[in-house]
Amino acid sequence: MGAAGVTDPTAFDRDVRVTIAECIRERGAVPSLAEVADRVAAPAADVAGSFERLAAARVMVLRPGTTELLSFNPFAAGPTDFRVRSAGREWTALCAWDAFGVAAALKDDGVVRGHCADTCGVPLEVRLAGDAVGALDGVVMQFALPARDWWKDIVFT
Amino acid sequence: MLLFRSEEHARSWRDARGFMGARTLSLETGWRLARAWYARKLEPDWRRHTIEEAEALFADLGLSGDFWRLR
Repeated sequence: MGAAGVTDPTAFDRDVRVTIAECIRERGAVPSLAEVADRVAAPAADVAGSFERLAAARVMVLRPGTTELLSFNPFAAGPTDFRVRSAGREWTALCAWDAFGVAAALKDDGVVRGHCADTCGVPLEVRLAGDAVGALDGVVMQFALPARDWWKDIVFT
Repeated sequence: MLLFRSEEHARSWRDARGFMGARTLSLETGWRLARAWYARKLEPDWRRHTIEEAEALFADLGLSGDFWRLR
């Protein structure tokens, strides 16, 4: 059965989105397409179609040229330059904002580890605890692109 | 969005790459922005912010001006 087997794409896409979120909560990892298909008991082609719709709706980001998840923002699917310790697990994120977002989505404190993006590359650690933020004095975040352009290159933004 | 050791390092990075309009945020504002933006992402009833909601969220954090406009 192909994508035409989905009779209600809106409801199906919601099931897929909720299933991805459940995988993240339960396993501490962004799932593969195959895992989502197994969990929702649907053909992979239908889930691939859903992934494409959800990516087009900017719910998540796919690996270029594939229907596998790069990021169910803020949770990245593989190694990145931004690592987060939160809710007792290790996570990765595509950018600093998403790294903070991991702890926000898990509703927990977090420790973000990355590097200064300038030539020095010095390791940086940011501790997020309640309303408090702890880091070396002077550390800042920087958006390269204005808000209206973020989704033109969401990985770079 | 990237992390920088200091405003000076952020300025050096954007000058070297021609992103003259880039904006820096304090970590505190970034944490507030992340919590406002992502707090509900894993909830079943999550939905994307509308443009109006997102701009209001930015404004609540003091993020105003053309850089933060979405339209």
